Amino acid sequence: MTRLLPSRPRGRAIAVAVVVGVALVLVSPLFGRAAVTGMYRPVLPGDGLTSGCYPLPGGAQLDFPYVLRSDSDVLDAHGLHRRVVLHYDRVDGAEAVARAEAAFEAAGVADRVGVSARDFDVPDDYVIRGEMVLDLPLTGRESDDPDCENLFVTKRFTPDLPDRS
Amino acid sequence: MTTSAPPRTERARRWWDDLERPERVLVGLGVAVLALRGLVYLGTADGILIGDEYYYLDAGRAFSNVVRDLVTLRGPDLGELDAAVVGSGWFMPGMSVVLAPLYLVAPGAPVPVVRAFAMIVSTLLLLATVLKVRRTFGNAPAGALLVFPGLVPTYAAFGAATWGDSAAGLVAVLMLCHAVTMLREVREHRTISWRAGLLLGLYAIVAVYLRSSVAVFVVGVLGVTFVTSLLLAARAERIKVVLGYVVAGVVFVGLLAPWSLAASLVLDAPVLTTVSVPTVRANTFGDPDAVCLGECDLGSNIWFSPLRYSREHARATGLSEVEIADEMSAYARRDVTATSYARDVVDNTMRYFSEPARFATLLRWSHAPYDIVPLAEVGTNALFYPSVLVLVGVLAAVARRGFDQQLQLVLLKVGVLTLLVQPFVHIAGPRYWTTMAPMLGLGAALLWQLWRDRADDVPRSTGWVARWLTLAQVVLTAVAAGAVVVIGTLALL
Repeated sequence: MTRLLPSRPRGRAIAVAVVVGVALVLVSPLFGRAAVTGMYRPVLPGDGLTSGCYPLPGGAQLDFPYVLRSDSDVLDAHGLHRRVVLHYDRVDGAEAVARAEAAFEAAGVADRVGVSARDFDVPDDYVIRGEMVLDLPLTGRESDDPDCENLFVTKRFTPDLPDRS
Repeated sequence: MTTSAPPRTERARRWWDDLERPERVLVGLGVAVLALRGLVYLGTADGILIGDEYYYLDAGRAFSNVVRDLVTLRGPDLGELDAAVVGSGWFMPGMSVVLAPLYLVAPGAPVPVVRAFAMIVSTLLLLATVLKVRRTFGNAPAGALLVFPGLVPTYAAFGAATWGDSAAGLVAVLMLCHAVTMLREVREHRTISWRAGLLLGLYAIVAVYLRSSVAVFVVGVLGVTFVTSLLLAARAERIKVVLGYVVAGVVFVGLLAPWSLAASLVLDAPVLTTVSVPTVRANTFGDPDAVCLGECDLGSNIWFSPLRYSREHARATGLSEVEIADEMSAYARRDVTATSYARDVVDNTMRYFSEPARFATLLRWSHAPYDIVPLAEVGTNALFYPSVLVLVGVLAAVARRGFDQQLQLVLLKVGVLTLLVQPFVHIAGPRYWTTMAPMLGLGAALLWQLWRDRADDVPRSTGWVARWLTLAQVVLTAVAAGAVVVIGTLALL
């Protein structure tokens, strides 16, 4: 079969390529570092309830693992109030409610909050166990941290956000 | 009078005059491919990055920084490597390794330069594959490869992009060529060299590093060639055959291990290649409103919203985000039935084959001197849909004569079938055909040869090897037909 590429200079070409390659590697630090954008692995936003932006009433702290899902102000027959939804991990609904109520009790705000929970229909060995709804008095933003503008921290989503799912 | 060396043009003319007609056609097609790629590059040059390209570029930058650190005898920035290279464990880093030399020389390379670099590398890979195909199978298959996918404008546009799909497809063809050459040698000498095994493993791992979806292909080809080698080798040489494949396996596993270990350590979960499959399956076959055990957050897409949810739970519990993602996926898929799955597979398959030119629209540069989209639409559709017929032909055909043709058809069936696993496990899109495309070019040439030789007076091949290759073809055809019938029936129920 005829060679479409000449074979003789191939060895020379490889040798030149290796020398040029090594030289470039050696001088590469002089050109400066490449700036990684991190766009495909963003820093994980903080937890909205402990970030100080919109804390729980009385500064109550929940002592079981949870993930904040949404935090919104809703209007119903009893007026405006705050509705916080979270998913709790590792504990069942009854225990999560008991622990949340104890936390509000300790913070002295138990009479102003409502706590309810619904276990997901999942096997017992699941990490994510259910959804808790906290019915709370309205809270204003309590921190100037720019993170409080981040919807993925506060989870105070507005209906105009695109649902790209 | 002394004769000096002939001038360059004279040498070029002599080279051209020495070429046979088929070779001149090949050179002409090669020039056409280069011209098309130049044209398409200008039409995509300053386009923006699309989706996963952000990952490949970032990881390429991080790799170049590692080299800088090593040259200056500093420890590498592990935090940067974790975030930019392993990231969320969604992608294999092969394309980033390819991009690293560019960032080594030009750390701030803008998108047009990255696209030019990608175009040069992908063109060299395409031409190298064509030459390898020519050496292995002859002029006609090499020419077929230059036409399809070489002359497909959208395929050329992918050449300027940084996803690994098309490159993985070309390396898969290199692996296929090597497998055929190796088996021919086994047939001739009735034994195998460990070097052949080493090279087979090398091609396999390079393909997987470029795109993890070719892992099924790699396993299929290794399986078929292993059995065929055993049948071809002399009884006393079989242990050597086994050893050859052990070498292939050691090379493959040895080169995959650094990645698997790094990804497993960073993500705190066992990772072999990538970990995107749970979320992919949830999004593809599950209830979209239950992926985050309910709806995911508004304001970001179907990949980043579930990712954030899994990372948030991982932070709250101290577990791995991969473990949470598995759980989310299982929950979203709890109501999947055979019929819902079959319907989703049909939808995916439609997506796999519809709009083959879609990415030309995404990749185009809106201020280019001309719009490549009309060219891409016409050129891509005109070549792509006939290639779908080739796909059907490759799956349906059974070659009964000639070791080479039988072997090639078995390997192409394995290739096409394993790459078509994609719509069964993954949301399909108009990017995945580029992995299979070069195999369809080879398939077109093979079908043409089978058609040309149909009346030849060559007896059917006999013996164990021929029987095995025929059986393999029949089984693979039956698997393809069976999958179509089962999925089709279930989807209609």
